[in-house]
Amino acid sequence: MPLSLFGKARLNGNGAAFPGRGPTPALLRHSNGLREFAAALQGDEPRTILDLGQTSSANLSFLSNLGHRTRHEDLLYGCADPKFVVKTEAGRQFDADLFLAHNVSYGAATLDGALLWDLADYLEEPLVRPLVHRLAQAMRPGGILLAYFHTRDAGPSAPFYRYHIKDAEHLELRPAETRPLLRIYNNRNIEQLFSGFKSLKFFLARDNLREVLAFK
Amino acid sequence: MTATSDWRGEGAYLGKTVQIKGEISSEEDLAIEGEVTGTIRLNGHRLTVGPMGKIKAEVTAREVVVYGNLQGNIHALDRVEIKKSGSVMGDMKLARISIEDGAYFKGNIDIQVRAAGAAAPAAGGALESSKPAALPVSKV
Repeated sequence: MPLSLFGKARLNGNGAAFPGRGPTPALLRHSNGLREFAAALQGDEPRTILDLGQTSSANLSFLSNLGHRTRHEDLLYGCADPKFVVKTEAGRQFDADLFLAHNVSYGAATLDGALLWDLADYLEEPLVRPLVHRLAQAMRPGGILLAYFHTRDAGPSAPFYRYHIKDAEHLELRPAETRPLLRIYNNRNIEQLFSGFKSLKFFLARDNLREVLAFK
Repeated sequence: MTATSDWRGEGAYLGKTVQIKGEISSEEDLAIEGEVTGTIRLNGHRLTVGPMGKIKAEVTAREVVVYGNLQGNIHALDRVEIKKSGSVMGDMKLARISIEDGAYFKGNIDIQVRAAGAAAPAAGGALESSKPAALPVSKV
């Protein structure tokens, strides 16, 4: 199980979760994982790439420039839909099964690439494993998935960024609404999470993010 | 944007209280602030979905601009523009696209190369809306 280091903190749209923190600047970040992801998608044959992050013109532009078809599904936005919050004896809770019944539905072996970004650190816990399982089912053999995971050193107040592809080696990390990390995965957790994939490749970075490529 | 407005353009307009179920065909630009369920065909013209507009329809148009909510597939001969307040769920076939930060899109995008002689699409058919001029670089 991943570590739930930061309790049950949840999104606070007005930034009150981290009082006193000033505005976070955008960053241009080098990414070895993105470089290998992009290199794997080179070629004349159009591929189908899924972007699970915020709708981004930059990502769309980059992928379509490579000649690929794109699918988009902003998972965090989708999870925020009140229709997926139900009343239970324990109070109002996110209903992962209901969400999965209406989202992340992809045909088997229909995707050549997927951009998961760092969503596994922020999505509701019951959603993460089913999501990755569905992605594994949806990837074609040889398909590649790119994900990012915060390390323990990132701390609970790590800024929440949206990822926009600048070029084949760089990401523009734009600060978004305040959103606390919900958990930290260690390498073993990550290997278990992606057990439906053939192999994994890790890139360690100096900014408390681990980059992971999962190959189907 | 002002309340009555710039986004409407000069063409036909369906106001907030209008609800239509069925097929809409038009030989001029159309702006919708009401609710439409069905099919919208604006061959060679522009559809604008206003901030309060709710569309559940298959849309064919030269250009589609979305400030409100659109559910359904879009076939745009030229471009689709999703404003930051806009939400689109469906598959899109188009030549060019612009998506503002904050906009929501769920579906497939198939960017189609236009015939020779047509205006060239932007790089890859996609436009970036807003970029900081300079960013600190994090080397890893």
